[in-house]
Amino acid sequence: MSEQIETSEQENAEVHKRIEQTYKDGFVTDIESDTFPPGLNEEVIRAISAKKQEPQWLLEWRLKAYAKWLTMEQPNWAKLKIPPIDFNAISYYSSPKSNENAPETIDDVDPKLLETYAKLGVPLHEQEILAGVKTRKTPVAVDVVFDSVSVTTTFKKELRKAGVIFCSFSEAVIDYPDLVKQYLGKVVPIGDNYFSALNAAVFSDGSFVYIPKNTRCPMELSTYFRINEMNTGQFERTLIIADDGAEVSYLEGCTAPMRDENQLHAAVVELFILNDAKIKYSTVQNWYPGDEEGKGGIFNFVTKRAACNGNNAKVSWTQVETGSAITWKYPSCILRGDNSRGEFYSVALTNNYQQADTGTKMIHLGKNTKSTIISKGISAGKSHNTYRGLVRISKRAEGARNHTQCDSLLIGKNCGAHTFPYIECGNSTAQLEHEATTSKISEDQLFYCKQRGISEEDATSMIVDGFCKEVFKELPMEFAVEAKALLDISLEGAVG
Amino acid sequence: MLNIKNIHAQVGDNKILKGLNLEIKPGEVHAIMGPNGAGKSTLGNVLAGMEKVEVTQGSVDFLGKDLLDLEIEQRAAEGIFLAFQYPVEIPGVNNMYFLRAALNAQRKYRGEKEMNSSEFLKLVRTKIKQMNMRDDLLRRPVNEGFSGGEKKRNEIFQMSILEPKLAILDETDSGLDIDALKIVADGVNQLRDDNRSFIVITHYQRLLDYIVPDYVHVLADGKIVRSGDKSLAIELEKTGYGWLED
Amino acid sequence: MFKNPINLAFEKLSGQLDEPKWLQQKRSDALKKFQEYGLPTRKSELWKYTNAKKLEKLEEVTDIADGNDYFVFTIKGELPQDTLMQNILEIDEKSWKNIKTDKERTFVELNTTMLNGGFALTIPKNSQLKLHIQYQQVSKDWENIRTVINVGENAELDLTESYDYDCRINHVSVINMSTDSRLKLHSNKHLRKTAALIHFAQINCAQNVSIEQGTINNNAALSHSITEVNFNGQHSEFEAASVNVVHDSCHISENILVNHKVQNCKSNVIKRSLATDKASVALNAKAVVYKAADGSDVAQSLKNILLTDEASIYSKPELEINTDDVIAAHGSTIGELDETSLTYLRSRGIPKEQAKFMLIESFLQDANIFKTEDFLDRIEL
Repeated sequence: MSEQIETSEQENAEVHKRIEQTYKDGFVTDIESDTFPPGLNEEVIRAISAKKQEPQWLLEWRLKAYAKWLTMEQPNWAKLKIPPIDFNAISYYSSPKSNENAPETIDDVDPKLLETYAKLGVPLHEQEILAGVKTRKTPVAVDVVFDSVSVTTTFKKELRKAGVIFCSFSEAVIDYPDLVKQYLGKVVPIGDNYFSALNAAVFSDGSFVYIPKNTRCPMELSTYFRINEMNTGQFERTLIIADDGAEVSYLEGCTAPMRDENQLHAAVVELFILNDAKIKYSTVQNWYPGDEEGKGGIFNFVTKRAACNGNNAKVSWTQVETGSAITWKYPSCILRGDNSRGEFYSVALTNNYQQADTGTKMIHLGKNTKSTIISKGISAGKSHNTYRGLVRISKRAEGARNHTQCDSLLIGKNCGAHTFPYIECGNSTAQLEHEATTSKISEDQLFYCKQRGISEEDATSMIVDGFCKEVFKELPMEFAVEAKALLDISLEGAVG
Repeated sequence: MLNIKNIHAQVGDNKILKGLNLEIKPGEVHAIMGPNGAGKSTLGNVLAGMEKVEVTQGSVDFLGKDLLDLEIEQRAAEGIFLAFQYPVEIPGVNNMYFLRAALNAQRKYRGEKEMNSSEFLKLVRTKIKQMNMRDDLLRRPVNEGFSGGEKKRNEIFQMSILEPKLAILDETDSGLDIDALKIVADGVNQLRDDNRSFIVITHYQRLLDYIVPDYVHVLADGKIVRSGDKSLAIELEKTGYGWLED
Repeated sequence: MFKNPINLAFEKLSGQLDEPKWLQQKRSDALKKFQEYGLPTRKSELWKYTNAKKLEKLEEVTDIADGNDYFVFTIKGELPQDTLMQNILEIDEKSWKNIKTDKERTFVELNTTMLNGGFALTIPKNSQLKLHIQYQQVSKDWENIRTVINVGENAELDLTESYDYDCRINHVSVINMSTDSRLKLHSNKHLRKTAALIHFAQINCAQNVSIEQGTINNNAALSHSITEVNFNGQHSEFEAASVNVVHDSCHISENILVNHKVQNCKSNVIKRSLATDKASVALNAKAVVYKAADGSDVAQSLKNILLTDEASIYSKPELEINTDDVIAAHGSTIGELDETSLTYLRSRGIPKEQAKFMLIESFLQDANIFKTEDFLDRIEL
């Protein structure tokens, strides 16, 4: 017992340390950048491709995507009020100048960048990380993406020994063209949606992971996304392939400076899970949410999809979404292999004028496929928080199972919580259950906490943490602490 | 220590307490008995400060302070503890975390040093042994999935950690079997001393065999209609409350 | 009927009509709107799972009622004094209420354009009325029927609505409930597998109104309904239970939208559906709790059973909540019959088919809001 108690005590101490500031990652790194002038046209796309020294096929793929994008319209079905976006006012490529001669080792990386990540709490020196292991942190390999480029990837060599490929997307295109070609755009086709088409045209970097057959990735992998430059968009692409029997846990974090202008982040993540393989994908999204009046903040329009192509494949999405002015995101699972499993655990918290429309799609194609959806939404201030989900059981998905639980908590009279589940079933042996509740924090719970001496604000944060527990427990330990702290910060000012 | 004068209280339009007076001195145990709907639980809720109970008249002095003027959590920190008739479940919130947050909030209010986790752990270990309770309750979320008896015991355990000056036990005995009742009573008796007082709200004389009160009051229709010593409880057990009708 | 022919049909109709100008104007305005909206497509939320094109390929109607009455009234008991009844085509301009439409409600415009029958009924305050209305098919064409019922203060209406077995009806109904009024609405849609019914119903509630609605949707080539409930006064309650049972290639789409515009109202929507063969059911229950509509209580329960792999069910319970003092919950399940119960019944000697039937019956009984004995008698299971 005592060990568990101590752990949770330590956790709480860390959480309290973290919540002393509001948006603590809102600083700007003063660094010289090579930034394209704003505007979007074929030339820009060719220029990005040239910067990356990409093969011709990839340039053609981009141009095809761009042509497709031009014919598409921005989606308006979500319950979001999106101000018009001037795609010609955005710069589509920005890289720190010092990064031009791709740094070989961490020692070649611009100290200003290292300092940035140190400030964000993302250690990049392998020795330091390993030293940290002794004080109970497990090592995590990280690929850091700064504006449009990957700055460095740690533990590459160690991972390579296990046969694991973990590198920036740009490197993968050069070093592992066959793998990239085989999988790129196969689960999120270029014309899938407006933002994925845009991403396919202009994506500048991202992470690439390949876990070979029967390999359990020896450490957790992560990517840390940072937007720094003014008026730039970040369009990264992540591609993860878990070959037969492979297993990997991948984490993703994101932050940006506080600015009055909105900035666009339109990413695409594709996961491929083959026979008996497993991918666990966790996100703590803390893009700048805008200020109390709703000014500024990131537009986070992301397409994430996993294809469980093999039998017994398993994918698990866990997300904690506290940042961004607008979030539009539906990490999905295509359960093609028999007995494959998809999971989606989500906490989305909105405050002030934030808007979130998020959820998942579970497409059951194979026999005995199973999916679980646990979604917890918290709305405060004048924000709107929507769960939108689709569970589709195809005709041949015999014995498919789904369980969905969506709960929403409202804090205050001016916010909204919305639940839009689509449940489609075409097989008589399938079983689906969906449950949802929406309420405010119970008066009884508050009274009970206050009677024990706890203030209303602390009681609220405690009850909200408890409400999210089912999702937090799916996160790796380090992330769980981070997530809890973020929740408390984001809730600040919501009570009273 | 506690002086309740002519309290009138209502929930919505429903007038429940209609001029209740009660004085409690340090170290005393007062039992409040009476028929259903007499206002017994409301008395506890008035003292704890439940917002939906509106006090329309009267005053409550607690250790020289105007209790009605304080927020719920301030009253707690001043030393009022209410053992709930229906302890509330707080899903996902660890019992230990909850209790330390409560203890430290109270200590902070009183200008005392907050307890660090190892000090707290030590305290918890000692108390749980004294209370003769199983420690697996501590790892679980607050009251979630607890049996009725477990919830009541958890209330008494919280009381022993928070060490209030005045504890109000609202039908803590209801729904307990005899073994659980003994554990609860034992917990209370351990805390009895010259400075700590108790209000024990109960339906049955049974609990008072284990927690022997200094005074017994009968609350009916929002007022105390009779007071006496322990023998009053025994009398009530025999006669019931029928006599109130006359 | 729906594209070019409608112009012709309309011209033909207006040639025959001897109507006031304002009504003719309404018709032609509505036609413009209908043409602007077009037939609903899968992009329209309430038609997402319904193929409206099916309406263009319907089999001919074979059963046509005698006479020219679009509906038959059967009054049980006494007709209260001062009850007012008027032909919908003969009401005056200011009694006509426009209904707000959009792409989803395009058939309301068609109804106005081609309106050929209906009534406006006003039930006086403090009265009670028990009424059965049978909507009839009197031609081979679509019947466009509109009904308006005003229930007076503290009045009570027990209304049963049923439709011809082989119908092709586009029905728009508006029910206005005054303060303290009560409504029991039995909606019986037992239809032939080739029939088509499009129904838009709007129920407006003043204060302290109580409504219970029991609906049976049984078959039809295509039956699509939108029920819109508006709580305009506090302390009103709406409870709706429906049973949807479809066979062959039938399709039923049942949509209920409850607008909690004011405080302290309660809505509870229950649906029990069963699809077999190649049939499909699309269900939607949506509750919108407006800002400041505190004390709202919302419940939705959508349960479904699929009996064959060719059949499909689409279930969409939706909550849109814009204030914090609410209780809102919904649940939806889709599955086959419970194996354990089935085994249990069979172990007691009940043959498999009968055991299945018993389980289906008990499943559907959840939606028997009026607790009637013959609830399931007329449904083809």
